[in-house]
Amino acid sequence: MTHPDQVYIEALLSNDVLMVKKIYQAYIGKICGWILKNGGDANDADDVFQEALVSIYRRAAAGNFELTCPFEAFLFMACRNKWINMIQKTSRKGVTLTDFTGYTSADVAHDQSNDVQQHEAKEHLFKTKLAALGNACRELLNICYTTKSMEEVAEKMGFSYAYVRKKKSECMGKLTELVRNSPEYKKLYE
Amino acid sequence: MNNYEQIEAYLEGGMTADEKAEFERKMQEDPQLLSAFNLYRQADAYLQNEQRIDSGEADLRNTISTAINEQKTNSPEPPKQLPTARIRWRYVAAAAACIAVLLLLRPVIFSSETDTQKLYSQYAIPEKLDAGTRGDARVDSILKLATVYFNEKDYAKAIPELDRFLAIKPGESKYQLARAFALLETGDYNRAETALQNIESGASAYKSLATWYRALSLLKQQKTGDCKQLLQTIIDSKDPDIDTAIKKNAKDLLEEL
Repeated sequence: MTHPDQVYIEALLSNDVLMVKKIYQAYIGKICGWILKNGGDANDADDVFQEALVSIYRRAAAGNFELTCPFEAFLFMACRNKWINMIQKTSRKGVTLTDFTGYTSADVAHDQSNDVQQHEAKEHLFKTKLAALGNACRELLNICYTTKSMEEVAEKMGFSYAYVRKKKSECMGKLTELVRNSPEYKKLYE
Repeated sequence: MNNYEQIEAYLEGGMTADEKAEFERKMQEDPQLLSAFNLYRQADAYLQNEQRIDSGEADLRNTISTAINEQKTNSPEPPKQLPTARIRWRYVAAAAACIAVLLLLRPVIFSSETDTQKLYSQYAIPEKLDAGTRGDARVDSILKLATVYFNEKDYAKAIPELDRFLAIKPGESKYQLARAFALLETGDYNRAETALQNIESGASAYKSLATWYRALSLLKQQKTGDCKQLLQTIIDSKDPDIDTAIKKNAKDLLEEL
């Protein structure tokens, strides 16, 4: 069942300035306290807060997302995941992470924040494989997805509709194969 | 038609009802085709949403940064130095720093050692790039890639894309600056500094930021003396266009050095 805190998700989706300020004021103290206990500083807390909110936004904006737990717990779990990633990237060693007081990894929030993390990893995989495609395919896909209809694409490029669709399907095939053959695919999909 | 063409036709609505039913039946019998279809559909959804979500993300980032900065500027100036016995008093320091997050633009918490690399990563925070559109699909796609790589801090990959973009649009100084920063991050100091000096000698709005980046370049190369001298030049500058945040950063960094 959708949690009433879904309003926070809607606020992120509509870029509601007042609500974002409220979220920051309400939660940064606790997030900062936790980051300090776990090897970071106040700037890290701001970064973690920003990146966690952005990831939540991206997951929600992709569709089919309903908050089923309190937003606070969800945000803290998302921050925890972000901080783990940041630590791994900057190789700050010797940090053992604690749980946020009152929240454990058994929470529903844990599953929802993992969903956010997994979505982000999938987006990253598509993004990197798209970048690895040849220029011609990348440009064709770019035009296809920034133009209203395939008919318009065909007209723009001076090809027949059937030819553009065939070429697009070839490029999409290449893209999905690059994704499928990557080591990350197994982790994310199997 | 091969499988991908069929998937495309199915998703694009280019199949008759009979063809659709037949294709669905085929998918049920062939798990590999079904799996290819599912991945294709995900790639399609990703590409369809990418631009809308990226632009929403850029707006949200602005809102969050404003929320953070407003909170800090509305609060009084806090004490800058933490007690030296910060290990024994770490919980006191933690509480103080938590309050400080609301107060300081760039707190100097826990920065007891003036290790240049650490200082460099503390101060070298580039502005995020926002691709926007230039009304040309090819230029837009190059810029988009450059922006993605740059914002993800994958500077080695961002540089060739920025090179390609600037070859077409050489006058875009924001991206010249971004390229210089990327070069600096990858350790290509000569190219970085030449590029920064070019921006500084022009009339760009990014002149003072270029000087600041050059100071960071010197810091990263551990040329502390030269770095200090340049920071002092920034602080003493009478140029009315110089950004006060840059002067403040220069002052803070000089103090720490």
